[in-house]
Amino acid sequence: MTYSEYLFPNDMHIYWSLMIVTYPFITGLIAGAFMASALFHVFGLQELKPISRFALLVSLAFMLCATLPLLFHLGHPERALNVVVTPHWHSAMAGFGFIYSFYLVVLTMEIWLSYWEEIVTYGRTSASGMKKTFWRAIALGAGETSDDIKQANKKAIYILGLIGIPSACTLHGYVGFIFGSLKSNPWWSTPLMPQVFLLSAIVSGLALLIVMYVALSSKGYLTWSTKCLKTLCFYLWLAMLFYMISEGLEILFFYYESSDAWFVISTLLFTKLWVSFVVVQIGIGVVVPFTLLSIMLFMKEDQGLYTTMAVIAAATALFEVWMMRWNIVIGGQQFSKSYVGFRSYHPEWLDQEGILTTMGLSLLPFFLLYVLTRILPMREAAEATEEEKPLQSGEPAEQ
Amino acid sequence: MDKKKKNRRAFIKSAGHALAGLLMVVAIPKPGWAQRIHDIEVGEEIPDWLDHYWVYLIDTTKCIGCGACVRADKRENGVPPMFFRTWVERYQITEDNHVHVDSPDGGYGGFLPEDLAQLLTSAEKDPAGPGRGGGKGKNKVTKGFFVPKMCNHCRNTPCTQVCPVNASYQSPDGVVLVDKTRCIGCSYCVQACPYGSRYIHPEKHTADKCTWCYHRITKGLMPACVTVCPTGARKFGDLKDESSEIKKLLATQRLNVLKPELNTEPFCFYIGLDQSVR
Amino acid sequence: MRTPKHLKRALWIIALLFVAGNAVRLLAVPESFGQFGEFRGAHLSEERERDPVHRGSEVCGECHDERLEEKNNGAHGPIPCENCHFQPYAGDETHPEAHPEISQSPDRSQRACLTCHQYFPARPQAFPQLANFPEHIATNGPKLKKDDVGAHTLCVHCHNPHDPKIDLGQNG
Repeated sequence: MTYSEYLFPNDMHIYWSLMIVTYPFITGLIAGAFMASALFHVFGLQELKPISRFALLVSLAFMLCATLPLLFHLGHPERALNVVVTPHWHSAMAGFGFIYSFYLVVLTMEIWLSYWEEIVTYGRTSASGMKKTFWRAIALGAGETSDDIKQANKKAIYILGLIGIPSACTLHGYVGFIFGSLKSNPWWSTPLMPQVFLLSAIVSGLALLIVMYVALSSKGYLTWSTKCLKTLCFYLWLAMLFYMISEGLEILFFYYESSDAWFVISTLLFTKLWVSFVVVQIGIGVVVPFTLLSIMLFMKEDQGLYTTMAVIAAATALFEVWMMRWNIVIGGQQFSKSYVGFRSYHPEWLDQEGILTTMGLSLLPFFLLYVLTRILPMREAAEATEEEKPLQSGEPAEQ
Repeated sequence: MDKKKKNRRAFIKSAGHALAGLLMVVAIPKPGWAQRIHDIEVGEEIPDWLDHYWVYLIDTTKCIGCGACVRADKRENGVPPMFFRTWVERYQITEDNHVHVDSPDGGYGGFLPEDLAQLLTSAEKDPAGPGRGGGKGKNKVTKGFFVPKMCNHCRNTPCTQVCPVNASYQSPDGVVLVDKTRCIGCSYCVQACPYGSRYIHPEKHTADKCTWCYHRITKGLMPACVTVCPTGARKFGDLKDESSEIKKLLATQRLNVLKPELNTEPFCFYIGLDQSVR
Repeated sequence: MRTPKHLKRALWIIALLFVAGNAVRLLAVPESFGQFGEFRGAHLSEERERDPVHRGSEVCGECHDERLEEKNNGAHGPIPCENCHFQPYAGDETHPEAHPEISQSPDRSQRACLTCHQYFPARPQAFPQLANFPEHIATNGPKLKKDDVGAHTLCVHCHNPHDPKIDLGQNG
C-alpha cells in the first residue's frame, strides 16, 4: 500500500527550532567539559592537570547561558518558573529546574574549592579595600590555607566530582530522555537516545577543550603539555567510538525491525535528511575526525602535525555534534504524524528563535568565559614552574 | 563554658526542629494531590463532574465530508485560520492500491473544488478525480470514505504526561484540557500527541486543542460538531448515563481507535475505520 | 579530620537556600491547585463559564416557528438552522433580529448544496448525491416546466432548502 503525500492540517509548523538545537548543544558542552575535569579530579589522570580548572570554568560559562535558549523558545517566558512551582513529575521536562539548580550548586562549589587558595590570597593581598571585601565575602569570612584545609578541600572536590558526574550526565541525559520517550515520533523514540546524547556531549566537551587548549596555550594562557593533548585526543577517540556504535545501532535496528518507524525514517533519510544527516553529519562530521583520531593513536604527539590534526579533528567533531542536534531536533519534525507527509524548515535571520539569536547565544558563553578568566586565573600558580614544553607549532608559550 | 555549650546545643536542637518542619512542608505536597477522582466530595461549588464520563463515537460510514463540523468548531471556539481542533480527511484508494489522502483547509469548506464551473458543465461522474486526474484505469477509485479527526481524549494520555507545569490535564469527567493561564508554551505536548490534535495558538502562544466543547457539555448541550452533523456520523454521550444511545452503540458496534498500537487508549471510538487510515 | 569552617558555612548557605527556595516555590502555587488532581482546580469552572455560540434550532423557532416546522418535517429535518444560516447566533436569546451577525439570507449558490450533495467516490453510496449536474437539470428541468436551464441554474430554483424533496409524480 502506497500513499500520496499528506500532512495532518496542524502539522504544518515546526515548533522546536534553532533554540532547541542550541540548548542541547550547550548542555552537552557543560556535561562534556565537566567530564574532562572529572577525569583529573576524580579519576586522577594527572596528564589533564593543565586544563582541569579551566574546564570547570568552561562548564560554568555555558551553564550560565543554558536557560537562555529555552526562554527565547517559550511562548510565555514570564511563566518559566511554573516549571518549579507546579512541576508535573511525569514530565521529563519538569526535572529541568531541579536538575539545573542542583548541578549549578555542585559546579559552583567545585570551582570555589578549586580556587580556594587564590581566593584566600586575593582576600589578603588585593590592593583596594573593595576588592579585599569582595574576596573575603567569597571566602565566606574564612581564610585558612593550611595543609589540613588543603587536604579537606581536595577530598571535598573529589566528592563533588563524584556527585557532579551523574548530575552532569542527568542534566544532559534528560534532554535525550525528552526526545527518546515520545512514542509519537519514530525518529526520536528509542531508548538509545539519552545514551547517544550523552556520548555526543562528551565528544563535544572534549572537542571544545582541545580547540581552546591549543589556541590558549599557544598564547601562553594555559600550560602547554603534549601529554595533556594526547590524553584529550585519546578520550575524544574513545567517546566517538562509543557514540558511533550507539548511533549506528539505532539506525540498524530501525532498518532491521522494519516497522512503521522505518516506513517514515527511510524516506526521511533519503530525502529531507540526505544532505544534513548522511552527507554532512556522517560523511564529514563522523568520518573525518574519527579517521584522524585513529591515525593519531599511532603518531608521536610531539610534532606540529599532531597538533594540527587534533585541531581539525576536534573542530569537525564539534561541528558533527551540532549537526547531530540539528538532525534530531529538526529532522524529527520534518515529517507529519501521518508518517506520509514531509515539510521543510528554513530558519529566519531575524526571528526571535532565528539565526542571529542563535549566534548571539552561542557567543555569549565565550564572553562570560572571558569575564570569568579575568576574575579567576586559568591555571594554577604552582603549575607554571612544573615541567613545561613550549608548543611546537605557533609561539612558544613561556620562557 | 558549660552553659554556653548547653545553649548552643539547645539552639541546634530547635534549629533542627525548625528545619525538619520546613522540610516536611517541602516534602509533603498539598493534601489535594493525593485525592483520587472518586474521593472528591460533590459539594455546591463542585458541579456534577463526577456524575459524567464523556465518550465520543465517529461513524465513518455515515460521514459525507460536508465540513459542517469544522466550520461549527471554528465558530464555536474561535479557532484561528490554518489551525484545527477538528478536521475531516478524505481517503480514496485506487485500483493500484494507492491511497490518496487529502484534507483541503482541514475540510473547512467541504471537498468541492475551488472552481465549480467544471463540475456544473462536465458530463463526467467525478471530474475532480482522486488527485491524479480522471479516475479511470489504475486510477479508478475502488474504495473511498471520509474520516473526521479530533483530539482523542486518551486515557493513557501522551500529551498531559509530558506537560512540565501541569497546565494540561484530564478533567474528572474525562476531558483533556489546557489551562491557558499556566501553559508556558513549550510545545512539548504538541510533539507528544501522535494524532496532530494540538497546536500552539498563534496569538495566545499557549497550547490549544479540542475540549469536546467543555462549556457546552457541562450545560447539557452536545459539542458543536455533534450538533451540526447532518448525518449523525458524530456521536457524543455520557458513559455514566445508563440509558444513553452511545452506551448502547459502544456495547454493540465493532469499534476501533486510531493508532491502537501506541496504547494511548483513545476515548474517541470509530465505526468502520479502514486499516489505511493514518 | 575536622570539617573546615568555610565548608561548614557553605553547607549552611546551601541548606538555607534550599529551604527558602522551596518555601517561595510553595507560596507561588495557585490556590486551587490540587483541588481535583494535579492541576489548578479553578480552571474547570473557567473552562465551563463561556457561553455556547451554537444555540440550536429551537431558539430560531421562537420567532420562525413555521419555517422550523417546515424544515423539521422535511428531509433536512435533522440539520440545525445554523448549518446554512451559518453566521453564528451569538447574542440575546429573545431578540435574534437585533443581531445582524446572523445571516438572514444564506449562501444560495450551487456550492451551498453541492457541499453535501455533489457525488464523491468517498461519499456513502446511500446518501442522495448528484453525479452529473448538466444531466440532472436537462432531464428534470423540463419535467418541472422550467425552460432556460443550464450551468447557471440554482438548485433553489426548484428545491426548497427547508423541504427539498420534490415529488415528480405530482408535479410532472
